[in-house]
Amino acid sequence: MLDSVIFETERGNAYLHSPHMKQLLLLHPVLVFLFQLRKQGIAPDVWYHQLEGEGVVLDGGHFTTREDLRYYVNKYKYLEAQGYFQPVDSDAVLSGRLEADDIEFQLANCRQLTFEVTEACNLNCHYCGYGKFYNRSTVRDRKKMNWGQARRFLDYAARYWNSNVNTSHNKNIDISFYGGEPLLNFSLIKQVTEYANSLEMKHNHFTFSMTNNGTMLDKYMDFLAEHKFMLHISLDGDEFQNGYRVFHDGSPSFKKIIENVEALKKKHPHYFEEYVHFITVLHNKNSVADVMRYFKDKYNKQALILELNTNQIQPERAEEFRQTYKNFRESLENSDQYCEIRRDFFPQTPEVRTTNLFLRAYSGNAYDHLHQLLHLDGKVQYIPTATCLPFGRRIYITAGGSILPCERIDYRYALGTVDQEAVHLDFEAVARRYNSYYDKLRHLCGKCYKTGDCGHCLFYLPGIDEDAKARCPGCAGPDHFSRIISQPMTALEESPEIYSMFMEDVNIT
Amino acid sequence: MNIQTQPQPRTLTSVSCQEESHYWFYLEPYTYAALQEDHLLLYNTLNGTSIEVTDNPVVTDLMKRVTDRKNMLTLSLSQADLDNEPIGTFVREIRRRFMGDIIDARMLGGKPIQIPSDAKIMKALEKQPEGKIDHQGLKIVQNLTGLTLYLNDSSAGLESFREDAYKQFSAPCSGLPGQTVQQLNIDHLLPFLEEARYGMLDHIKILGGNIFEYPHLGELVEVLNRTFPGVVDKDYYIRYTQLAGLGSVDLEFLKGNGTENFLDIIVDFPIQRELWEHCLQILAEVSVRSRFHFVIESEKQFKQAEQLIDDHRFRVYTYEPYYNKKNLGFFQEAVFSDREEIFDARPSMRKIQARSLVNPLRHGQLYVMSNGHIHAGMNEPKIGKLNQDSLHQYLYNAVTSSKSWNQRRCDVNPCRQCVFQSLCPPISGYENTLGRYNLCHIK
Repeated sequence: MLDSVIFETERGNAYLHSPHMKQLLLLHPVLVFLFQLRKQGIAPDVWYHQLEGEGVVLDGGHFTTREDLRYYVNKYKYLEAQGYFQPVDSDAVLSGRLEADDIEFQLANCRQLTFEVTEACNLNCHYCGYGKFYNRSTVRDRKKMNWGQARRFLDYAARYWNSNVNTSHNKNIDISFYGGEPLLNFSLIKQVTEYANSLEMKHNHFTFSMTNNGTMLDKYMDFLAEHKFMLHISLDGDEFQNGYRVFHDGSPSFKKIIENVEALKKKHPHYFEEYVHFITVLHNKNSVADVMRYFKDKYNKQALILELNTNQIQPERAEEFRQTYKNFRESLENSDQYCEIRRDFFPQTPEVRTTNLFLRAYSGNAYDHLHQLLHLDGKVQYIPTATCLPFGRRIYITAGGSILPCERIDYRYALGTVDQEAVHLDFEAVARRYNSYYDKLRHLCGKCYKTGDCGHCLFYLPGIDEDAKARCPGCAGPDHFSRIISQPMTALEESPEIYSMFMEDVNIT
Repeated sequence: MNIQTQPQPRTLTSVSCQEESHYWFYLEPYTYAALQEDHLLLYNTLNGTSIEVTDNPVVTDLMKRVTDRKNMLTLSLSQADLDNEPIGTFVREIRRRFMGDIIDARMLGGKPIQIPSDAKIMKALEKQPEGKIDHQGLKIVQNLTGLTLYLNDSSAGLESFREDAYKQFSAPCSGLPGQTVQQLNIDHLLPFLEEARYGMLDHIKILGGNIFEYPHLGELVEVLNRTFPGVVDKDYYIRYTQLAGLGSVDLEFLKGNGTENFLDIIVDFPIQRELWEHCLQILAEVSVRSRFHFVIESEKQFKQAEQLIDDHRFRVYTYEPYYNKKNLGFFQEAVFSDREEIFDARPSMRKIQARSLVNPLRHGQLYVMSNGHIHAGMNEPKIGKLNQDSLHQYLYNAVTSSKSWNQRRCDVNPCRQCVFQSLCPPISGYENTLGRYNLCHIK
């Protein structure tokens, strides 16, 4: 059961979060006091009738008259009668389960198909997700995906995309290429792109995207521009900041990347402006402020800044990892240019993003779809954690032919395979597997106050795959939750324009 | 927070005289505020109480500032403001109804906020221009919540029935006299129903003409029961005069296992006694779930319907007022809402939110006519034709361009100037037929 909680902002203003009413209320200090009395088992009206004297002095020395006390006792009772202090049966809310049809539906409506076209990479970045810091269950041996596998899966998926189970209209499906360095298997990228464009699609059209290290753009930029690839180039800033991105002989990659980027910009200026983006990994050689300034000044662009993945770290490398790792929020807030950066990049700051997520989860007024507002009052069943529904966001095919719901999770969680013969994907089995995870987590998530904006993927939770109980580092009791939601409420008190931005500009997928 | 009782407490005056007091005045997020020029309405969505203020510029100015998004329902008021009589009385009324409050600023650490109850749709498609709908997660078929199928436009058994009633409520629709009866093409309909299976359908209404004259009725019923089992209601509409021409065996299909089939009987006046009695006799012979819909054009007919309901102890029935272009007086008397009825309906904040975005009464409804034309509303042009495009495309047309789905009271006169616009029921087919949007006694 989840109770209502009271939390304070940094200004010291108190608010009530009522999970039952799905609302946040500013609370008068006397109501806060009455709420706390009630938690101690003392009924506010009984307390009031036993009160002697003309009034009380609350904490802070503020005198409250007997008449005002009576008013707030009545208001307390009013809010109580409306359900503001009523707990929510979180087990019932988190009772969602999957069936085979749900898996089929997600596949038919998926947003992105990602092919890991090769495991090979011509760079040897210090912090690579498949490198020395990480404890991965699979060995990468420079495998390349072949055209037969890719085509087989495209044909398989297209049957679902063209079926009535696909309820989307004229929506893009993004075909994405991943590696290693994907351009090392350019011939496959070309085949997939051309084949996808030849498919007759009833409800969708294809777009293409690729994350690459920028070192091979000189050879393939014309093709990428012609097919309007959404290109994400990995670059960590200037030459020093990019120092962890090196070739296998240890030589720096920076000059080669910049040469290629400049050539791309010169040859395809419109494409560069519209379709080319930068991805930066944050570490101890750069900072949020450095990166934001660098890309703004050099290319008038804003890089997507990612933190290093903190999961599955090799214990013997933990200290080295700790020294390399940098936290986004701390990096921004510790910057000498914090105010300037905050002003220039305000909508992208963590405080705004966190506040948007908070408003979406707890304001009670944000609905994912119009249908939810019109027809699903109190009828939504959720599943534990923030794990994406299988294939709802992405289908990821590894170079070895494993089918996964995401490129960020370990290969041991593969849900199927594509080989020389066929695609092997059993929707029943996928649903059963996910339901077993949900069953394992339900008791844990049922106690968590932060289920509304959980950010945890079950595939990263310790113990999820073992006989032992699963654990979740994000599980929040009422006190922890109060501290967490105090931050975005404080941000709204200090910058109410965030609310307007949320209402007018924000779309969260 | 600790408190202590004060045997001899300081007085409020002795505290407040140290510095000039100011207060944070705020509205609760469950209070709906509507402001139109000099007219203010505050409505407590929890208990239905309200405050109306007219011709009081000081108060309306205050509320303009409080409801300005950047103020987040909170505003500073000085003691002098509260001593100002219109404001003082207004704030006291708000507090008395728990619609808002004031807090002595010395009790807080700075300006507080309340999060306004404006609805935000995270994955909104509406009004996005064509070519800009690459919106992740867009599942347009899930907008479909109701389907009405006109199987034919046969006029058998519809003699003397109101020809345009179907534009006002669920009623049979007859073709023009002398013209060939149009039957809905079953080969075109079935693929459409297969697509509709993935919508969020709540009900399917099946009407004619005369549905029992539809040559493919058996096949259609079988497909509907198989494709939409369980919670989707299948409502088969027939005029009582048509029902009287059937035998009980004709209604056996309504008794399919595990289906939600209903027989909806349209009753209009004057009653043709013999046919009515026969209709009741058939219903007595066959155990099907039936509902009666009484078409009412006058107070007299309303009384006749009440009499029938009493005589036969009908439990499930509705009244369907019919505007025949001569009975505006009856509508004004019986159908028009007044303030009391609007408040009695106790619209929730969620309903108010929905009404501020779309027409929730009509959003999600598609009508397939016997000629294959598909409409998003009965009073607007078709959005497509069966067998010409996909359900996805029809729904996209409806979402982006249907007046019926998207028409809100804030879009039409005189409602757009009325503070009750989001408390009133959504715009109905009656209003479109009448060509006026205020079936009320408010303005």
